[in-house]
Amino acid sequence: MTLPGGLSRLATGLQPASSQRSRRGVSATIAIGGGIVAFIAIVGLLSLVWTPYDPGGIDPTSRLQLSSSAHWLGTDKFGRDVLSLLMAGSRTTLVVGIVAVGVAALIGVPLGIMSAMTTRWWGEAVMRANDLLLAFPALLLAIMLTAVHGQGVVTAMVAIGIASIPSFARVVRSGAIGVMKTEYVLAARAAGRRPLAIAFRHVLPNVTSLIIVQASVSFAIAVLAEAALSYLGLGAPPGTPSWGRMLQEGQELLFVAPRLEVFPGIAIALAVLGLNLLGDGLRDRFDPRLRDRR
Amino acid sequence: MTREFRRQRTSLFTPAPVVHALRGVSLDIAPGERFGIVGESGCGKSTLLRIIAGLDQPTSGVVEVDGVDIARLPERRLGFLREKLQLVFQDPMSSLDPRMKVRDIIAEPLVAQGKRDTLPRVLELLEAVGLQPEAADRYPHQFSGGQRQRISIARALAPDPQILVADEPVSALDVSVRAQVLNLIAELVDRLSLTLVFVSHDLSVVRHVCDRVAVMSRGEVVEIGATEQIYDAPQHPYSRQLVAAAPRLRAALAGRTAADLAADTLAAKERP
Amino acid sequence: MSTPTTTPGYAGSPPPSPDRPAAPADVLRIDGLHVQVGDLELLTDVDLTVRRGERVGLIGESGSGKSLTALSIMGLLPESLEARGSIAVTGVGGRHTQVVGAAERELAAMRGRDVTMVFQEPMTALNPTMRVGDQVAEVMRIHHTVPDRRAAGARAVELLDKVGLPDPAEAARAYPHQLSGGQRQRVVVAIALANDPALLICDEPTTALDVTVQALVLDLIVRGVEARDAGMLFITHDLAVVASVCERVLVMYGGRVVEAGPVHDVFTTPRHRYTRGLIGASDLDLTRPDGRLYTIQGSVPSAGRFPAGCVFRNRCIHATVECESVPPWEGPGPEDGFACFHPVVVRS
Repeated sequence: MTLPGGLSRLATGLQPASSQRSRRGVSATIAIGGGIVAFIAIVGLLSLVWTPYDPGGIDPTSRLQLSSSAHWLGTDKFGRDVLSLLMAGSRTTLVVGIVAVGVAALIGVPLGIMSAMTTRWWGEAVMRANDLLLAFPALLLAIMLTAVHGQGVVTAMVAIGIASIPSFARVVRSGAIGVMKTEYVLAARAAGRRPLAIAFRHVLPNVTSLIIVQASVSFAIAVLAEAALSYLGLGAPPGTPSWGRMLQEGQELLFVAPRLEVFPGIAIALAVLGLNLLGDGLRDRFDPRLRDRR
Repeated sequence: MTREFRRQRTSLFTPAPVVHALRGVSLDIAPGERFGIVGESGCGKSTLLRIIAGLDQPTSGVVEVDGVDIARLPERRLGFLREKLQLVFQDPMSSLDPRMKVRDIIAEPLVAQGKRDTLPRVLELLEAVGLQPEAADRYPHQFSGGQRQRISIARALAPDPQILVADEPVSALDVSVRAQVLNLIAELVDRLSLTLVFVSHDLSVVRHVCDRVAVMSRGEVVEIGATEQIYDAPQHPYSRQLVAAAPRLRAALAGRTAADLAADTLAAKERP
Repeated sequence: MSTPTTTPGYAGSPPPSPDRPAAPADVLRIDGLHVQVGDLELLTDVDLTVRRGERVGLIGESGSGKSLTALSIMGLLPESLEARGSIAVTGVGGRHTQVVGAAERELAAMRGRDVTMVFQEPMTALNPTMRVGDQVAEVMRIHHTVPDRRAAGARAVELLDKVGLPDPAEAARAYPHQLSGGQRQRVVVAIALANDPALLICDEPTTALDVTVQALVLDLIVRGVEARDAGMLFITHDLAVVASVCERVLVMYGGRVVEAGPVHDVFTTPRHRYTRGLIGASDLDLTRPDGRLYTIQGSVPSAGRFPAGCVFRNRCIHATVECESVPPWEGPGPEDGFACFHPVVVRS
């Protein structure tokens, strides 16, 4: 017998009483993901005040050393301490991620809400422009921006931020369309609320959870993008510690000193993994509650 | 002072495949009247209600409230209507913003009018709908369906409206709570001398609440008249069907089975 | 049949009777059913019997446990919920299933064959990506009640004709979204009746339908059940619908059966205070001297918030200290009686 939807609805209808309590606690996914992200953030902050060696300190006498008690992760071809570089690099990664996500959210969220709230032609136009941007390779955008503004962390952040706008706009728009269909928005209109007040008081608070999830996912993408740009020489300039730059600089010695590639690679993978776990965990945490409210 | 709604030849077109949600609907509602609109899903009653409330615009036609045609007014010039006319919705879950406290929900129409210090009025309204003052600082999900509908009614009454429009306000409620909410609406309408526009799919609910009723089918008003008259002697085939198909406890206990219901419904449709 | 477990400490509940075997005519016999999640009791001591050819109504508001009872019978409780007691199903050809504790394979053989179900929402009960004719045929193929594919297809069209779909051959090729709500529910009924089940469970089958369509679908369900001499358990919140369809009725509140009896008796001379209140509140033709409706005070508590003892006592104006303990079941048997310390009138 086919019993799909009706049953699952009945079954889920029964669940809140039982599983809400367990959901209120922090899931393992959030704990692990959040732990990794927090660890990287703490290391980044620590590197502001202390690193084992000066991350920019070139020391020709101790080039390409293996792991030792003096240099835990060894040194690179300029004799710089790899651990210190990794620690300082996490700072660049975090700053780039935060600013890029900030830029994307600041522009993408209002665009998404606006296009959901209007029935006029320009709402549709905004979304089509959004699609266009989505189809445009982010790397190409970064190359263009670099060509215009020159290489640098700021250029990289802006490029990654602009490339992340569409995903925010889309997610927020679909959530906002759902909110706009509810009777409480209708009630607010009937109460005489202006569109701007409806956007701030009703739509935005009810799509916040979507924004948080999207932010953690976009952050992960930004970390990867920063590494890729720096690797291509379009991101952090020489002298600025960055995981992507470390990859680039270690590349020519891949067969001589593979650890120069492995350590930053692990760092990038760990950061992306942590952020993705956090995003998934948050999504699982928010979604059932959203469903219960409808 | 007179107040009336006049609606003529209202038809709503949505783009692409043209859907005639309403065709040539005309009706007048006198001040102080309790007016019911009955019909089944998709008959256009919700569209009509939204147009009356200024939340939607007719493709053609006139909607006059107190002599002002609201059909062509832009939203920012509907302020007078927002003070005069308020709505109660069907779903007590989705009609209250889950992220807002009850005091903010009820105060919303007041805040929209630029009023400050709304708390005394909110507490007064909570009392009027039979809720404790503590309710003000709680969130909607902490209330049962019936209590949420009381909150919704309190919000509607906040700007001291003259017209209350209720869209299926009890169809999502438990039977044991439905009677309470119907009584509350009736009491408030009496006490505040409101004009009530009450939309429902259930003729027996409308019969209890309203003096006059319009029966709608496929975007048209097929019959309009005193509630008792339509309930006891429906003229239009569709009204007859609606009356015949509704199961009634007393008739059922007197031996009216599902087969009788079905036979009567079909007979009502076919009788010339 | 496995021995039903009993719960000590439930004063007043009649002990389940493992020694009393299901009579041959019983398609369904529930004895002392408890369902709980953690420490939270959602169903308490439910007794319920449906015989062949009998139409039994189960009335209740949200949170009364009526839908949970239906899911228990189908063996479809979510895993987090734990059932105790006995649910004995005597299916087609006398095949016996003890649902509580049964293996999934055993339950799968029962569902769709011995016991079938009509849900409230006809849209979500059908697979949107499958033609409705195939969905009707599928349930017969699963249980091998037809010899082959071709026969299943032909029988599906025949069933769609029987449930009153115009042009059944054409309808069989339609997808659910191409049908109206009433037509979809007819398809769901066709699926439920396809294997000539011994018991049909209807959970608010017409609540989502328009009233004119409801009358026709109710008639269809009753005729389908009568033609097969099947038992029917009809779950709804609508008293008038139950009175039009059923012979016997059970009233549930707070996860307990509070009153049971023949429909006419229960609705004309209710004994439990809740039943009385429910009938008063749902009768819109009956008003108080001031023109208002009769009401029950308060609102239905959410699951787990019902008071101990009599579940209705926090809304009952007749409640006394006595009601803090569970009222015993009074009456000749589980099919006729009530659980109230202060009944309206006791029939002689």
